Amino acid sequence: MRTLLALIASVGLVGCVGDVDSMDPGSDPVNDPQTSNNPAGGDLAAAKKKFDDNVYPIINAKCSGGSCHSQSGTGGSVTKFVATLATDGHKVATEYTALVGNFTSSAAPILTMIKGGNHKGVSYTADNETKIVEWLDAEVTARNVNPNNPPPSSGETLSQATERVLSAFAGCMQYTDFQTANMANAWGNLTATNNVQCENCHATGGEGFIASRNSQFFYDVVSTKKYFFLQYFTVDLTQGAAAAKVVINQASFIGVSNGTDPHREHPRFNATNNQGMTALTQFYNATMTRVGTTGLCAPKPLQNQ
Amino acid sequence: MKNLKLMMFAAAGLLAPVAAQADVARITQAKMIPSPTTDLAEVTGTPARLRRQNERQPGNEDSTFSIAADGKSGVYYAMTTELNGVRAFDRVQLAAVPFTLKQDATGAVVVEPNLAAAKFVTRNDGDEYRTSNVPSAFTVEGASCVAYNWQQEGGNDTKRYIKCVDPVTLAELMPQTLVMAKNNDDCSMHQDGQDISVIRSAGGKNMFAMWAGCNGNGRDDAWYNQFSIDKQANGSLKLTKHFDVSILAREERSRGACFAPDPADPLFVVCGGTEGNTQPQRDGTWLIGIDADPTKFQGANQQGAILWKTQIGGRKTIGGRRTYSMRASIHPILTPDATGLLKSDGTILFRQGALEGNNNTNGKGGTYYGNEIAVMKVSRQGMQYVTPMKDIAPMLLGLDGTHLKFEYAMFGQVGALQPGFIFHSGSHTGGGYASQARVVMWDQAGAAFKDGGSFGIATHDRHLYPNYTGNNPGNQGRNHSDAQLIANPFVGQGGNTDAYLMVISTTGKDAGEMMDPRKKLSAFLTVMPVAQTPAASQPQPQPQPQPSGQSDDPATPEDESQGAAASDQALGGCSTSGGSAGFLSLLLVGLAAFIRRRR
Repeated sequence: MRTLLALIASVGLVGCVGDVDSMDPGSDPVNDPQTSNNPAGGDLAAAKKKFDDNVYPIINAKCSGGSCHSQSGTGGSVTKFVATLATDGHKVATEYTALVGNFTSSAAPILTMIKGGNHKGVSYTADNETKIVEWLDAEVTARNVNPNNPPPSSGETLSQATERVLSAFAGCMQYTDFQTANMANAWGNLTATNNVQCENCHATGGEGFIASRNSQFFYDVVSTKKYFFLQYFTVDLTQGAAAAKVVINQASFIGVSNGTDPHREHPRFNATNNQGMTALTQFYNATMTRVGTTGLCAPKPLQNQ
Repeated sequence: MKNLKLMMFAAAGLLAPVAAQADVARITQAKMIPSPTTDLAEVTGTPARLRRQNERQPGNEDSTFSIAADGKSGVYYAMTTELNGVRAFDRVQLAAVPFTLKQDATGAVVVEPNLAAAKFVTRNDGDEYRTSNVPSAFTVEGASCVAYNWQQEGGNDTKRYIKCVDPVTLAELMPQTLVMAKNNDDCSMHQDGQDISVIRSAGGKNMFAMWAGCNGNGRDDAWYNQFSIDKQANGSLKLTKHFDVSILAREERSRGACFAPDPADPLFVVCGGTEGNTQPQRDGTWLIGIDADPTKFQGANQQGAILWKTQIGGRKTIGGRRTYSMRASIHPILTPDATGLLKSDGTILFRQGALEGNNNTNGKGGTYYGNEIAVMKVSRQGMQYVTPMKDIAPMLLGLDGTHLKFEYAMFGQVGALQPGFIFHSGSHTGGGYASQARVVMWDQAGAAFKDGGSFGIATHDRHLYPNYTGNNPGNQGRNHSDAQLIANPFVGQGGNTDAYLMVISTTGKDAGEMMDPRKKLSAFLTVMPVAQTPAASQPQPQPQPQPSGQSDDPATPEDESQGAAASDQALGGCSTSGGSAGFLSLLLVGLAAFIRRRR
């Protein structure tokens, strides 16, 4: 949704519940989770320049009207990604996951929200779109591709690869695996430092994150809606488009778990070692097994919501 | 709330198809009371976080407001610890800030507070510093009146009072006057932002309906309370209580509201609330019909005034989770007639949450799995569904059900207005960023509800500072917003085409102070245009009476000239209710009975 400040609920340091205890706590995901939105540690200067020169003027003109997305605006959307000062533009915009997704044009709401044609009557010109895509391409490359050891080119863009693997993964998600992994109990009942559970605030997707012991509802949202999906999973593009794969997204939890602003007052939790991550790992591994089995499941594009 | 004149109006068949999304135009906000400069919160840790500090108070809390008959001015209230650099007596008192609505250079409607004229309007010595709790403002005879709870230091019960002031000078027009008290109970709580509604108003006489949940060790009931505030010969106002009647026998957080929904039967009142002595309450949501004829009923315990009582919601399983219906909220559906006056015809919205409770620790009180809404036709004979109860939580993905403010609204364009409502949802962690106004529209023809989108308004802290700096930190304490739908007095001027405005009061962390937990909450007022007038469209909405919100002024000479017929009524209800999400209230077997009562 439009809510970007994904105040992800807390995960607890308190004991596990339900079947989580019976799972193998030492089981690792078949691929390493992503813990940063700049996994390659790339130099973002060139991407920033594209944003400053070409994209900031676009969003400043089209998105800050009526103060909707203006950083200093007092109304409109809760996502204030248009910085007041152009010099802050890149920093502010790229901190909003709900604007940039994983920096691919197929998963960045800056494009996907608008291309649907029903977002407040806003539309991009072809030139606007070209400039935004060029910027996103620069970002996703810088953040994922080691310039000293670039992966071989496959002819597929990182954005195309993102859409491909997201669809493949979503198509292979199945509710029985979700249930077996105990995702609903593990996340919904995850307890934070002040004795609150994730689902207390996030059972119906509050603050852009969902965790609920209503298992079917939880699954239906995560398995179909991209912005909720991306809180749990992201795409590892560090090995190039051909090797792109969905991985567990720990980066989305880390800032919230340790109270990084603007999450300073969010209940604390361990973002990487908790019952939720155990369940997520089991669900992820089961889904990846299906992804890796030819002909087992058909791709299913996620909805841009 | 405000002044609504109700006349018979067959809203039904006049409603256009629901638009895909509400056309909510430019939203503006104003800071009404800055966060205190000397009253700072205690912090702990690195980086610093807010520290729990018993009864230190959150700075600004529980905001409400009244708007004058012309729709261009009003008075903003909040429980405030420091106003213009002056600390409140006994830590916190009710601050009042006169304000005006005007247009900025772009034609948008903006709020301009007059802080120079602001002052504390109470000076109560309160037990546990709850000196003016859950205030609720409304307009009567041109005066700004405000109801609030106060438990006198050394007293045993919280009681509800009303005080009225001049909306410009804040001079007292009616002294602090008792409106509800019950022995050994704390009075009173009500639906968020729906405290008092107007039953009728004419000739300087104004009759009001009020839900009064009185929690404690006495009767421990929810009451229907009826009173009048009448203009005296010397220009002052006088409150006279008519009668009360117990409408729910088991009170804990009933948080109900009462309205006179049908101008054709002006002495019929309908009330909705939640019953049960546990947290969450487990005895269901209820709708109660009341005979409000003051010639038949006077004094306390007038049980004969109950016409009927029917349970609406109860225990149900949602997605494998056992839930209980909670937080019943009602509001009449209003539509403009040919002259632009807003009217109801006995059709109401009924909302309830489906909560799985967990309020036996110091954690959050529970989890909302469902958010249900129905449209009902009510009369002296009972209730009939117009649109059956539907769970709209899945449709409103992204909206948590905690501490929602529910307010009637209309969306779209004049001539094809869409009845609906907003849910206002604040932050659980202090705010510092926009709170969420979620628009829902009623599709009568399709017997359905449509998501009109989510809109950011001024920051609102639904929990953190009120809880951490209130009584029993970590255990109780919540914040309330208030909202009113008003006709835009500036429509057609300066290029402004906004026919109706939703005005919403909130208190939360200022965005610029978000990283400094020492800074307490600021108070804000948001103006959110919700419906527009197409070019050359007629009729224009009338600035008065206001479609939702505080009381009216139908008894002003101008209004009287319009006819004080029996069909000419005001509706209203405003402000906050008491309680918190985090109480524990269990009586332990073998121990002396003790119920923690906040109000």
